[in-house]
Amino acid sequence: MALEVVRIDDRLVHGQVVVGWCPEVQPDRLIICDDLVAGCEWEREIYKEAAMDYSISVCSVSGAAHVIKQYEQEKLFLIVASPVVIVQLIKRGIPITSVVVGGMHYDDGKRKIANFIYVNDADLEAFSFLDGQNVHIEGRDMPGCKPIDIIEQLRIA
Amino acid sequence: MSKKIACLVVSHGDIASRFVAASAKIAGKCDDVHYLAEKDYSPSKLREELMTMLHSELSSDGLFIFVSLKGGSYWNCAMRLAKEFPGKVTVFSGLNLSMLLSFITKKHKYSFVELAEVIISDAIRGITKS
Repeated sequence: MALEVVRIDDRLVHGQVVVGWCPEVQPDRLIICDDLVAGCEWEREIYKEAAMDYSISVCSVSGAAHVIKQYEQEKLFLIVASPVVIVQLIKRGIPITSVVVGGMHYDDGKRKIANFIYVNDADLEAFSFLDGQNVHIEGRDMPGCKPIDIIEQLRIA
Repeated sequence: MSKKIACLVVSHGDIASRFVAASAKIAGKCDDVHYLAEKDYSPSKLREELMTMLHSELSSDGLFIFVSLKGGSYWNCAMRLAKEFPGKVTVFSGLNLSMLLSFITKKHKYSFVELAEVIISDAIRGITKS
């Protein structure tokens, strides 16, 4: 089964994901792909608790293909912190054709392109790459919200 | 000597400020109760804000962080601090007024560890079904 939803959110698994998206998507499993979380036992534990009733796996970028293959019969909800990770995954051969940007929050050096989306130069480069690969990219924090055309917003900003 | 245990209420929208205001109406203003107004913080910025409070003189004997939702982004962030600073930070989810009032009225009577147990007990005792 293909990845059902691929979400970019710098908070990874949190209320919007568990309470807002999961009842809509009904995934069999959440997968967090994040090198920092994958490398830290107690970070993994925090997110496992945060996932509440949902099964969750945590992997590094280099381990993502293995984990996705391992659970290929399941409906998967992949969550990463940044578009840069999506680029890394695609370059490793993981087929990603659509991405939902759920939250990229303000930090130093970032500029706003939508209410819940702030980007730096690395993000811009990543989005541009994804656009070039014909990956559909939309901003949507909650399932029922109107999608934001990220590439259009980047052109305007 | 008065203990320097602070509490920080962190939640979505106006919840934190409203809870603190409500507790002040009932128990009077408490200088050890603080809240963080919601902003579009990244997880790293939020962590900076929590660290500022943690390293404040106000919380030299410990910091309690009260959040609404277990598994929410504030809880995730606060839990990292609790893991990094065991014995100095305790995180409570399921924020309610009983929890906050327990802190305000009992903070001088107990140690950091004991107070945490008292607060969770009072918070749960405040949830009933009739």
